[in-house]
Amino acid sequence: MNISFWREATFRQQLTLVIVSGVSFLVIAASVLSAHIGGKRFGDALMQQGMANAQQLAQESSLALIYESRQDTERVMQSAFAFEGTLVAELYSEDKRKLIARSRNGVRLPSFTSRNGAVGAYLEQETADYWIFACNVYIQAADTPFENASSQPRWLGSVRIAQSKAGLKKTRADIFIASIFAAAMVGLPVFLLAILIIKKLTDPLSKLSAVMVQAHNGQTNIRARLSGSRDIRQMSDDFNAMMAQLEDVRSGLENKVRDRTTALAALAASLELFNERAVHELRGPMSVISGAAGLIEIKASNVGEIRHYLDRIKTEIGRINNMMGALRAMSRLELTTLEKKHVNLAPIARYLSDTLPTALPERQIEFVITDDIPAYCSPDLLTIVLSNLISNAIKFSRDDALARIEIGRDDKGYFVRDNGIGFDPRHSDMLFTIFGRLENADHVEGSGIGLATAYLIITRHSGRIWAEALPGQGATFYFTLPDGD
Amino acid sequence: MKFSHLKLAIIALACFFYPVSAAEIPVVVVVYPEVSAPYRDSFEEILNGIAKRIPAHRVVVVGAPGSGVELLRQYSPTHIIALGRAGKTEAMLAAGRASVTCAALVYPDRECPAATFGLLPDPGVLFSRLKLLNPGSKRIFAVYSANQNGWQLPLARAAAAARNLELHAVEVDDSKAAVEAYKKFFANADPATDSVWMLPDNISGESSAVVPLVLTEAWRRDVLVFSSAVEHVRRGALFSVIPHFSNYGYAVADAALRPGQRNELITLRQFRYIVNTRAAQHLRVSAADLATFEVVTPRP
Repeated sequence: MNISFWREATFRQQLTLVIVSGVSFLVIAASVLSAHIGGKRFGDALMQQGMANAQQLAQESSLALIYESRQDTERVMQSAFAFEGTLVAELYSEDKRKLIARSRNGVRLPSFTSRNGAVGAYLEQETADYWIFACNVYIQAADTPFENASSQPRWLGSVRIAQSKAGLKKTRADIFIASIFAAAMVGLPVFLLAILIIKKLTDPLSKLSAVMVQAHNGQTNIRARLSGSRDIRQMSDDFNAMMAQLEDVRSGLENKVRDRTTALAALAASLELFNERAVHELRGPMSVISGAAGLIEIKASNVGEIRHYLDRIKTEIGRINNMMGALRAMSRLELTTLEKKHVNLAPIARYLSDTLPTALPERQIEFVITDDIPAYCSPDLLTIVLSNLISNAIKFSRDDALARIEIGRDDKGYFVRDNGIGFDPRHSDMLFTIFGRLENADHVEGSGIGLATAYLIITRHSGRIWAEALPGQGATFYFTLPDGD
Repeated sequence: MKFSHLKLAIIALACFFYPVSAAEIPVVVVVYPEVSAPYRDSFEEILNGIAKRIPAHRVVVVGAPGSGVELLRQYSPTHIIALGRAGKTEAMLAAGRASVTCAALVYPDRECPAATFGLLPDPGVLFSRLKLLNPGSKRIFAVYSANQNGWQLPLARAAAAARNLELHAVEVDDSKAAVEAYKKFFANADPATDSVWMLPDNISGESSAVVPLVLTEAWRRDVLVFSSAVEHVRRGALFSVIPHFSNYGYAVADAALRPGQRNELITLRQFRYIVNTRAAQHLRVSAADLATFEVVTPRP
């Protein structure tokens, strides 16, 4: 059998092939066996009959062997050929002379090897086409109790007949054909019944296979509706559950892809904005540096003026360095691995409140920090976020006599609230863009990167950050973080 | 005088225990084979005849050869009547000092120490009946094997001569020679004067080939066939004799008790004539002659 055909065949085809092969094998094997057994029995019967014929012929031959007359020997031959299967009959005298021989269809026998003293008929030789039976002919007087001595049989000669096997061959073939026909008659209903049972058994599997093919081709909302045995139904239920799960995963993946696509689009836009603003921001110091250098060349007449312009150049170069450092830190955020864990943001906020204002000792700032601010996040990154938000709050409350900064969590999310100058809420979107600055923030020092960095970190946490404010009434920066359950 | 009385008493005691007194009472044991019908009936009739002569005889039935020897010896027989071949063999093994009379044998047996009572009649008996039925008979043709029937020939020749008959006997060694002899005879047989005497012989009287040949040819040529064997009559010979077994048994028992038996064959004398009525009809035997036969076959 072609192995590739077997592999390509369906389960039903394989099962059908196995059943067909099995039934065919049984039919042929039963027929061969029947023909063999029947033929053997018929052959045995023919042999018995041949023996009996030889025996009978021997009994009828005693007269012919004693008289040796043509009439008697002819009569014996007629008797021998009364049986249809007799091919050759021969009569041998006591001195092994062939007295008479008759043949049907010109068959000639090999030479006679008699068995002296053998009693009864025996199989002398056997060929593919016939048996040769022989029987010694004896005469024996009646052994009465009055005889002075028991009489011994006296050998007169032998008879020999060849019996054809044609009948045996034909019978064997007939038995084989009859057996195969009978077996086929029995096997055909069995085969049809087996096909029906196979169809009944494999129908659910075929349907399931078809549904699987549909699923493989990308069709959705596919469910198997199978009936049958418990395990088949269980298979159907499992498949449906698997498909539902796959569809859920797929939907989730699609959402994620969509979100990522949106995020990538925003990132691309921000990068474009970043480029524009970076150019703009760098162009300022570079102009100052260029101008200062020109003035040194044109106007500076003494060391004091030159030092003044050089200080201006150093200041602008320092700004550029700060800006580059912030950008470098921000870019590294993209590569930082998010290692989230459950943390309390309150201690982080207190640490920052203690450390950040030290750079401005003249300021009086009141920090109000909620005791417990649980979050599931990267503590290092959230430290950066809180640092930027608190720094921002400190900067924009610089002019107040008593600055108040609150850090905690309410219904909207985590917040950092100040009582500073606030801003026009219409411009709140540009707060989180890189180098984004409000109109009223020109006097405030800053790289313009801190809130953008905060935005980037919260976004990486799949959270959201926004600001609520009114001019002169302070500002509140909110952010959310997904639960860690 | 006292001494004489003592002598007389001793002599009287001696006479009382003298074994001759036991020997004078014969112990006769009949030994015969265990056979099935029809031979069993023949032996039982012989036994009946023996019982008429010797009511107090003992019987040993022999199954396998030698199985009756021990019982035979236990009886301490003075006379043994051995019937048949097996009875003779058993008697020879256990005879000891007992006298043995053989009976129910076809021809004389050298092993038998005393007389042998045969089952075949004297040929003269048959020849006499032949003359009665066909007074014109002149020649009797017989084929025989010397081993089995040679002993009858002297009797037959004497009997034939006494009845003015010519006995033409041919000795053969095998059935083919017998067939040839019979064919030769029939070729020139004259039914008016010639007849065939058949003998119980498995060569010259071979039952499957020779006997049918003889009877067929004789029937075809109207030749009279008679036989010493009753079986031949049943198959088509005209007449023979059939033993009267009861009388035969009586005669055997009577002879067994008589001392001084000679080792000789005693032919069958206790018989009845048997005739085949079909053959008789074919040969035109007269009713008067038929009436002289005690037994007919086939039975009407």
